[in-house]
Amino acid sequence: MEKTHAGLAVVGILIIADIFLFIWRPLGENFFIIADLLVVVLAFASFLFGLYAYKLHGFRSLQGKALLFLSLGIFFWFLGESAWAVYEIALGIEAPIASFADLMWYAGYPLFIAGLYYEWKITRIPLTKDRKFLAVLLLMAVLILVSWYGIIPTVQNSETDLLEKSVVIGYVAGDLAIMLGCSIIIVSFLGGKFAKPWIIITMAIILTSLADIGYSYLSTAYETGNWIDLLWDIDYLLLAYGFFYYRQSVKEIEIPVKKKRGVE
Amino acid sequence: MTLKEEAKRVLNELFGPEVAKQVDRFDKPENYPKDFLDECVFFLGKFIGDNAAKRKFEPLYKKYTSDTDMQTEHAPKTRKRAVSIFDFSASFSVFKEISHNIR
Repeated sequence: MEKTHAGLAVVGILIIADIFLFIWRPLGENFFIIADLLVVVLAFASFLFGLYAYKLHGFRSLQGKALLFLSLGIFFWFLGESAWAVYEIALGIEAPIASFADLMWYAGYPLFIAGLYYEWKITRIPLTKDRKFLAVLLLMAVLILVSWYGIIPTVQNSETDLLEKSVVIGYVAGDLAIMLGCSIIIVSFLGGKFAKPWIIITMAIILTSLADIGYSYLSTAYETGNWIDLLWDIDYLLLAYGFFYYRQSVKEIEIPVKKKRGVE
Repeated sequence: MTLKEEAKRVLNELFGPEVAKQVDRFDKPENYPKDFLDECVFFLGKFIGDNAAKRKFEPLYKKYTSDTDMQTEHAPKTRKRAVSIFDFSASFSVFKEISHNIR
């Protein structure tokens, strides 16, 4: 497991460097340029690691399909991050809510959910009878309650129109759907090597949800370079690490030892 | 379709040819079908957990392993206990204990 430990160390160093960057804030008022570009790079890295995991299986297998759809979902999020950066850096439009960037982010959700669906098809575990699944549902109820506090201020905000409200709240709803999917995958893979990478990926999605709740709460008051951007950065780092960890753990799966027999 | 091919097909559908070809390194399915399937379950269990792996190979166990194999694998606990009562050495030790008490 040396490579996965090294990978974890790299992720840890990058997270600490990112935190220092947000404390230091180089370029002053123009720090948003760095923040915008950084998240674009991290989203692309995350997509590449998704493809790296996918290449192990190919499209014909269920796992291959799952990983490809997850990677494509991340690719659209990368397009969303890129479009947001173009709006802010090249066009000088600050925080373009309800723009082409949102369209790209939204396009990523069904693809990501399709990936989760194929992942679930691998085990097809009947989750409705599972106690662990009920525990996950309970956790989801708590998360929905927490999210509600991110949604209410957006609904009550008189500065945003209906489209902007729907866009912002939609992210929280989409994240919750993905989190539910990830939780189901973790429960169905418990006991196997796949559970760990899925725990890492779910942690990434939880961070996205927290960032989206924060974004929804701030709504029009949000500016790039805000501390919640850190959560998106860490989210992409963890997604990349989750895919890397997955590929490494598959490589290290041991082959069963043949029984000792006499001459065959 | 042979057992090996069917097992490969199961793994190929789930994880693709790179993973499926590992089956070639397991026991010979022609001579030891149950051991081969046990190895398949062990291998797949490493990916998705033992319970899910067992479910995936259950049809192949039914198709390729004998009734005795199935009994040892799936027999209920009560039946196992019933067999142990008739175990000769166990019965003998009980008999010895009773006779010792009579004396």
